[in-house]
Amino acid sequence: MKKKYLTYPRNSKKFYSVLVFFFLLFFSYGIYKNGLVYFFNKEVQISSIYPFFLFFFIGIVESFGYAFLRKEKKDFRVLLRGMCLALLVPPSTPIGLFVVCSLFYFLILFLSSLFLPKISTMNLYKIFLILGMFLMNIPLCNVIESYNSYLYGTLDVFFGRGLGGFGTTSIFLLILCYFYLSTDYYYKKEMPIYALSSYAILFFLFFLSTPSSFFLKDFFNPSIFFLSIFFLPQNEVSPVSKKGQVIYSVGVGCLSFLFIHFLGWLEGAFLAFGIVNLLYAVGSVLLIRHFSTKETLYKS
Amino acid sequence: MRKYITIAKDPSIKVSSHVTEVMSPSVIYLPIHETDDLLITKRKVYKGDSLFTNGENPYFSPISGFIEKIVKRENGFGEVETYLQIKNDFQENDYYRGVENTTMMITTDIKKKIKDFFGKSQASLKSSESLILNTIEDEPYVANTSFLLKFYGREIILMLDAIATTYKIPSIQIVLKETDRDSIESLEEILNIYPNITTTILKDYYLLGKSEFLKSFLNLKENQMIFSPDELIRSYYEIFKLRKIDFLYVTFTGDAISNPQVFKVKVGTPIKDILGEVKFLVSEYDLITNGLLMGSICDENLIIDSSIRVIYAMKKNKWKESPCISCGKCNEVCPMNCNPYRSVQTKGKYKSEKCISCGLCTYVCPSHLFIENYTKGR
Repeated sequence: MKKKYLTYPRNSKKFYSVLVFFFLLFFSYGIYKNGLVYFFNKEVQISSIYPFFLFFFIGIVESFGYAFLRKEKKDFRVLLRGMCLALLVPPSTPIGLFVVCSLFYFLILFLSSLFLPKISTMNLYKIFLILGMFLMNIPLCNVIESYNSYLYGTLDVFFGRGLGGFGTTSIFLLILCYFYLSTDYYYKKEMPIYALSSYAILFFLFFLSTPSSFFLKDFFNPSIFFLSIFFLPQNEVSPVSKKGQVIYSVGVGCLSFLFIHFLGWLEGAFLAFGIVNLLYAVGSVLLIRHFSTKETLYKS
Repeated sequence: MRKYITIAKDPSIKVSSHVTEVMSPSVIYLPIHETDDLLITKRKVYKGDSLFTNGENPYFSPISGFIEKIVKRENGFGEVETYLQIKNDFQENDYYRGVENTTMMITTDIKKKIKDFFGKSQASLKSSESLILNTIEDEPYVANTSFLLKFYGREIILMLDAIATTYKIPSIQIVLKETDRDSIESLEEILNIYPNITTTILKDYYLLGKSEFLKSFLNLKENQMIFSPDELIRSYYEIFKLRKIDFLYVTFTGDAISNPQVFKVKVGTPIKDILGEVKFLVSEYDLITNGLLMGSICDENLIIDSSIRVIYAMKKNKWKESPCISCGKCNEVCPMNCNPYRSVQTKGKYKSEKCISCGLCTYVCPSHLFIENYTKGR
């Protein structure tokens, strides 16, 4: 008989607490970008900031509630899930839509654990949020930004004035976060590189054919950066083999480029990832079923 | 290319720098099988007497005393085995077997004995360009080699040099682990008089203690001979001292005891004789033989045989298995490319014949799955 007595030193609470700190930075920047800066310019009331706190509160409560019902371990990861739900929300999202979509997220999280374990439920949640906003005819950016976005330069966009969830737009913070995540043994750090490189290659080839002075500003799309760093390398929803990881990431990068720059959907990266992820999730279920049908012995 | 990893160790587990001798067991047990041929005809046995043989290797008595009986008893792994029970007379009587070689000279007689002893490896030795002494211990907290080199370093190096001289092998390489400071220090002084011996100090990577992995790590040729200190000290005793080695070092360590130490014991000693020397920190613990990654759980009925190098006393582990998160680290670290991930996904339907039970997949698994059970289809 054998048991496990040694284990690879895993991430401690300290690692996740730093990640919570990063998420708080994203949140703080979101508050600043979507509320405080306009409040100081006397363009909005201070009350316009409250919904963001409410998103945060509701997201965390729902996440812990789900963990309680499913008897999950209540640790930093549950907190991070709740925070992520709030950070992904477009700034002008009505509270009602957020509540509906987040509850829907927990429903699909439960269902996916039964039928399609490799589907990225957080990405589906984001797609449903965007779809809801589209059906309700509400712009994805905040009201003032929708008039002034053409005034922003490349650096503005790099530091966070781009379009995305209210707290996920700072590419600078995202890159810092990526470097931190890369120190984790279980983080698939090559995947964001593959996805962003394929996106960048296509983007620059495209730029060569149609030169534009705003090319870097256009390149810094927060959605593809956020998705590549947080969603793509998630262990549960990404391939295990190196080849699979390359195909998966490059697929997401190329499709994202197609949706963002040809179809003009600035949040198209989430749809691109949704398509590739769905194909992978279904494929892996079929593959496991195939290998589980009979006993096979791999000989040297 | 293989990716090697270092096993994280608990710095609080430190093996004592002293050896505890348990060389006078009142009774020893030697396992015999139905197919073994008994060679002994009388009750009285001397140290080094051939007792029985399995056709190739004769088993020797490590003590002098009297054969009491053939008993069936538990072997420490939950199975019943047959043992030859020998009662110690504490005389340590040994037959006179010839004149011991007390000098360091490699005479023609010694060369002849070496050729006889290594008869099976003759072809490899003749074509070998260099000899390698691998002193690396893979399993954590094991100090057998350090103690062998500390107390028998000169004899081991002499034996190595004698083999090289006999087969005209121009160079000798000693491979050490950078964390094994004791062995490095022990050898520093001895090697001054051997210009043909070089040392190579390697990082503390797991599996380099195994010859095939060391060969691939150092890009050695297939025909290069690798020896372990155990093999060399055994051959030294037979060739120079004309008798069988009657002891072995066993490390007793783990987080459930306060005084990890190395024991010098006779083969066949029941583990109970050692347990009295160990101070346990907890009342509930697991005993594991020969490695935390590769070893097996045993109990207090264990008899120490020549295959046992280490016994761990570990606190009961508190990790619970959780579903696989598909991180793929098991595949990444597997030195044999067995695809353990697929075995886990198919719940053991996909097995691999290549698995060497190194335990690396289980070690890195963040879900604490015992992956070997899947790769072996258990």
